[in-house]
Amino acid sequence: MAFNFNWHPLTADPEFYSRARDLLTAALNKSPKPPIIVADILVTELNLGTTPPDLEILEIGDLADDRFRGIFKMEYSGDAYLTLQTKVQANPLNTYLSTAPSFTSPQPLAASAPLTIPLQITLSNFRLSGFVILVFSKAKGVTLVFRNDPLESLVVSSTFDSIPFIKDYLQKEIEKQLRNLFQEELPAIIHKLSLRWWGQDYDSASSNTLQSHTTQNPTLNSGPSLSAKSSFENLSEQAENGGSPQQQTFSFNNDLESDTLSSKSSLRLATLTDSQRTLSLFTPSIREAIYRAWATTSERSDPTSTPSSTSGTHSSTTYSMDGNGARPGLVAMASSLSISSSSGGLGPNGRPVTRSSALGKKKKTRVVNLRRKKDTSTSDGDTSSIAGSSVPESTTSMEVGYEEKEHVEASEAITSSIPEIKIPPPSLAINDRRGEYVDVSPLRSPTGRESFLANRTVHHAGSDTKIPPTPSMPSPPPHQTSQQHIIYPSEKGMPFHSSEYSREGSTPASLFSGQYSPPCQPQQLSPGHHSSASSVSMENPFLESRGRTGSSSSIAEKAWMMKMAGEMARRWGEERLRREKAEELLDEQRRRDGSSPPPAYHQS
Amino acid sequence: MLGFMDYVQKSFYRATKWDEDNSYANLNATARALLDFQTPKGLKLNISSLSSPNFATSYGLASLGVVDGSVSYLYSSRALDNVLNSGDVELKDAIFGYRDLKEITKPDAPRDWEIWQGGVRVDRRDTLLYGRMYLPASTLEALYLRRLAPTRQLKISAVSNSRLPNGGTILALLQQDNGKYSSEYLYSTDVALIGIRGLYNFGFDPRKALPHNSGNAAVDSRKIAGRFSAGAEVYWGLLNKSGGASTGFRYTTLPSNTGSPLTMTLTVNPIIGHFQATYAIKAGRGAVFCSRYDFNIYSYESDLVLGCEIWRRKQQQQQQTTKSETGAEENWQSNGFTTGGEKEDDVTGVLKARITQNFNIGLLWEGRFKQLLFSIGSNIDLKRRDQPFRTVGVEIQYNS
Repeated sequence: MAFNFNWHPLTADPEFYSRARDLLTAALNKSPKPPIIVADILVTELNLGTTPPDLEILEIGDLADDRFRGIFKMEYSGDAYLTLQTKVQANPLNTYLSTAPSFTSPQPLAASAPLTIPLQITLSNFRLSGFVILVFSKAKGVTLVFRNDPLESLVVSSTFDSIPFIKDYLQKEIEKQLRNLFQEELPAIIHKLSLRWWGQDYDSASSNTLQSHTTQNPTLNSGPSLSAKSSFENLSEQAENGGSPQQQTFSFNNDLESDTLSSKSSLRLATLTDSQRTLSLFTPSIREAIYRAWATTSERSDPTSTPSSTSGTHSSTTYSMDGNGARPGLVAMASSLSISSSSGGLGPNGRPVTRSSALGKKKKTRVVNLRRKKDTSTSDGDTSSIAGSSVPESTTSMEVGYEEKEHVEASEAITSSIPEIKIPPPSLAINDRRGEYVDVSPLRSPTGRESFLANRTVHHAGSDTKIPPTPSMPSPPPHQTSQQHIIYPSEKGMPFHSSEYSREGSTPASLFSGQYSPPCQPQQLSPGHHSSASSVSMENPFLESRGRTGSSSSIAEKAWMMKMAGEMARRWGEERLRREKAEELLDEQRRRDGSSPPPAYHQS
Repeated sequence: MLGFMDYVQKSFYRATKWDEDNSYANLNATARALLDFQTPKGLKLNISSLSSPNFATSYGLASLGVVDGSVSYLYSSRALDNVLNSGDVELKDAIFGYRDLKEITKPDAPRDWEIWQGGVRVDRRDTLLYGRMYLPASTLEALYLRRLAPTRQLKISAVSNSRLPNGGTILALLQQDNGKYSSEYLYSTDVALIGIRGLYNFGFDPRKALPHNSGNAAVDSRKIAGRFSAGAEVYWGLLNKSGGASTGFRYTTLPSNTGSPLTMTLTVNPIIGHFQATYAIKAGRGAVFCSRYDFNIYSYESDLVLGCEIWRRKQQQQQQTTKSETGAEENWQSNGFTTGGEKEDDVTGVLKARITQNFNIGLLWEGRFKQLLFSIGSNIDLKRRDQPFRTVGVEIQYNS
């Protein structure tokens, strides 16, 4: 997962400024203006400057192809400027009387005569600092909220600079208006705009923006997640530019769908999901896909031999994870995965039943649960990697993420003697979401993380000694060192992956520790107020499912394992980010483990 | 159309011999009445009554999308016998229109107001109390009016509304009218606004005139055809440290004038360079035309508003009034504001119209139907062809 935010192409687009000006003009005139402003506000000049803002990723709560939720810390002190033109009422008595009730008006005869003066205001030297919460969902558009008041200071220069009273007044008024704009208007504008972009003209608009992106920024082509990220970045950038809701380059997934999913298979997937929603009995068969029923039954049937059996079955299903060939399947997984997790806790409810019934007849019952489908496919992915298929260099970071996870699982599965216990840990390790940890543990303590940790140690108590260090790892805050411009070149990341995989495969402990620590950090590091809003809302669907699955713990564990496996894909992206942030930390760990740090990470 | 409570307040002024027009604030009252009249919006109903000579109540109901209303009460220590119900009131008293200024009179001597009874002074100053509650808006208006002396009046008005800054405002206004000149001092709590207004009438000084009963006074005043007044105002807001000032001049013909009555004003705001000139003339018995020109020497912004007022009378009265030339002169005299001795119920309605530079037309028809006073008005914007009628409204008033 890489974030590539390119500031200059954004500002170099000639159409961008005109469009941004129009949008800003509309936005500024929408809200009721103070009485001193008697005409429409026109944005005459807009320049984003050359200095990009600093973005710091504090937390990514949710990540999928069509969803994103993250918290950024944004700081801007660039040279952007904005020139507005309007007309102001120069007679203070007139503005005073326009707001005072007429009954107590002193009713001056001519002292309140109006005098409108054209005014030119230049806003420059923006100093912004704030926490940005960005939530993107393909269905609901983009929501961008400032946690706090981002405006620290700005310089207002106008035609009245020689008159201190008016200057002060303007400064005060404009700051007030801008604060309002940032906190109330801008989220609404962006949301509306995103809905428009994803609406009828979604295709054309996104393809246009995509093109501009790709031409300017070749690295963006490499993967859908990358372009998605960049557009996210753009969004948060725009927030800083004096609240300009400019050109929203929502090119997420557009290339993804067109490139990696054929219309036929997407149609099938849609039918699958529909069949689940509508309880329809018809379920289209999808090639190269493993249905959950198969996987669960095989695991269920023979706990001790699970690793081998699963690997056997899965490999037999000819799901190979090699390079580009695997790509469509992966993406399919990812997309359907998001569907499953977004559609809440319905799945877990019925699942145990079907699984238990499927126990007897192995692989025969085709209880196709689409939500689970991706999970199974991911799990089958691990097995394939277990089987020894070395992962060739994949172009997208997403794929890398999958494969790495697979390795994790594989290594875990191999090293662990008791498969039933072992399989959950990898998923746990990859999942940092509190709610899911708690799901696995029958005792749900309010503090999800602690319970999770405890849970984990319980699981692994017998298996390995490497686990104990894990909880202590997260302590150093990695995000202090991280910078906004995290360019994660996937090509560069490849060597690292391969090297680390091999290393991880040989020594699961190092992998575990390395992989484990990052998820812990965001939660520990992020102050309470950051995570509160987003994480709580995120957990809600899982609270439901948690209650249900908790009753049948063993079945639930497996169910969760499957789900976790699916979630891993999503989680992996976040972890990689975190890992990036925690570069130093990881380096230390690697040194401890005896392996040299991957070279690619130093550059980024 | 004048609200009932405003009408009662005017009646209070008349009963206590207070000349409203001798104030700088009302220097261009004629032009305002002819050009800045409010057209009603939606449907408005007002039911009012003067239940006793000292007490008046009024209920208003307005429907413009949402229904809102107001309840108002008024108390006057002076018995207001000059308040007439809606069937009998003269339309020119109930409608703002051209102000026929009367001659300024010598104010009463303070001694004239003293009433002694058995060696004890028992006279009291006349007071008017008025309150109005707007119901859904939860706005309260209050007015305290006190005639402190024959030349002095204190007016305190207040508005209470939670949406206003500090929950409301109070305006205190101390008015002094000596006939020859008048001054006003005001303070508003809103921005701690302090204001001073003054008006000076050139020429005839009523205080130096011969006593009325000498017979010469009438001759004297008749010779004075017009009056020239000059005034100025200064405001300063203590809290926002900003102020305003203006000066103004007015020439108006007096009832003794033999020609067409006219009023001219010129107001200047030297601070922001604003000039305003108005000219109003009564062209004939039932028509008044008025124009107003605004110009700013700094921004070169200008504005022109034209308006007229046409009084519709009963036909038979019209014929009767076509008399000799001397009779016409008397007619003008009788049109004076306070020469209400003879009842002029020949007026059936008034049409007011104005047009601005932007082709914004305001039309207002005010009249009486049986015992009801009504006004129908509309605001028409000719520049918007698709929807020229901006507002349409009817207001109905019944007073008993």
